[in-house]
Amino acid sequence: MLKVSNVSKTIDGKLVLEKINLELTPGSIAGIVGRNGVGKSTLLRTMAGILDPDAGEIYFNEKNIHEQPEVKQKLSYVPDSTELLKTYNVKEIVKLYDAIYENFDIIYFYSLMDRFKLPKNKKLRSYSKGMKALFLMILSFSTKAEFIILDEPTNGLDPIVKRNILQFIIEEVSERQLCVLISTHHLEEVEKMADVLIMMKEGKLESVTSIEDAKSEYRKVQVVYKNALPESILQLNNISILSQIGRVSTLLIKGNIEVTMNHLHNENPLLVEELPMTLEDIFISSLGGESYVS
Amino acid sequence: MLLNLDPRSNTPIWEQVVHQIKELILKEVLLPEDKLPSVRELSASILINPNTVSKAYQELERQGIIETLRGKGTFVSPNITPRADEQKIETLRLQLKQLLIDASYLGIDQKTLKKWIDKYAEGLGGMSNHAESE
Repeated sequence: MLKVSNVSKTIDGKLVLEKINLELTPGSIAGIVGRNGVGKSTLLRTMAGILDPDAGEIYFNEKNIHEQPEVKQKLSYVPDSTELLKTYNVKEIVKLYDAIYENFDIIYFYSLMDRFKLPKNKKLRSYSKGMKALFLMILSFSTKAEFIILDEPTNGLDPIVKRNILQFIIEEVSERQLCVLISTHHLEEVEKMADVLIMMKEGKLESVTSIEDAKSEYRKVQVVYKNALPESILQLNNISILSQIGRVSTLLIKGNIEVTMNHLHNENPLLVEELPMTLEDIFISSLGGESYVS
Repeated sequence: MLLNLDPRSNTPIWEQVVHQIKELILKEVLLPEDKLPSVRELSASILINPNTVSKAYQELERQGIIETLRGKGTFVSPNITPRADEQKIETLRLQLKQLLIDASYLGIDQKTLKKWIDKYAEGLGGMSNHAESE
């Protein structure tokens, strides 16, 4: 339903997006992760039609969103800041959205405002950070858009507001056929919520998989050998060493798991033990690279 | 309904949901004909993807443990009959063998093991009603 085809984008002489291809289907939650500065926000803003790609197209229900902007009726983007709307009050913002989005559901909007106990006669400026985040979420889902893009929706929120927001997203997705794309650094949220995990690295998509597949492709183990790690294991290129404390090494195996596990066993280990694994391990191993900030 | 999911586990989340609902039924926390939360309710309360819950419910339904009544919701089946799934039985048998090997290396004798089995069986409601109907 949403298709990104060969999208590239250069900003200030820097290639931010490089030949991105992606397809998302209705009824799913997709999580996009990657380090700061890899182009996540640029990709989301391009998908929302805010930025124009230098090359490539973005289709929503087979219509190019940059050529037929009316399809953006079915699309809503929530930025990671509320700067733009902060001088307006709730009524004014609703008026604006109602004018833009044909299907904007005012009754639904106000019922959600009541449910989350948000004040209705105030300027957005007077809202707390959590209230602003909730407000934008409510506003966005009230447009009845079929594709919703959320740029770091839970950034800097307290656990209760965060839970409210995530619950709200899940309810909406289970209620109607919509697709939600969430960029986040809170890996534990994506881990449980997303159908699709999109990993981004240096302007390219590193991988697009289901969480289950991503996890079944990796295995984290703790091994101890009598002396140092055998040479033959160090030479395997699908193993990365996460840590080494004394003789105890923690390894992350990527792909070819059975074969590699057999290999570990054949070198007479004192101990080979599987460890529970989080997305964070995968993130660090495949998206980590250098440890400086870009 | 409280499920305790571990996203770090190597067992996929939908399978954890299946296991835990089965356990709740054996412990008689959920009784036959009890209504289960809807996909929407369950996924929102434990913050997991609704498709994950659907998948777990489909699997439980396939195994005859729950049933969905159109327009009414999902319920624990009034009579759960054990179904022979050759592959699953085989895996279970191998797991038990591995467990016995590990136990013998830890110096646990068969008497203790049997005691443990009885104790757990008791905690899970004797398991007799599920075995008898076979």
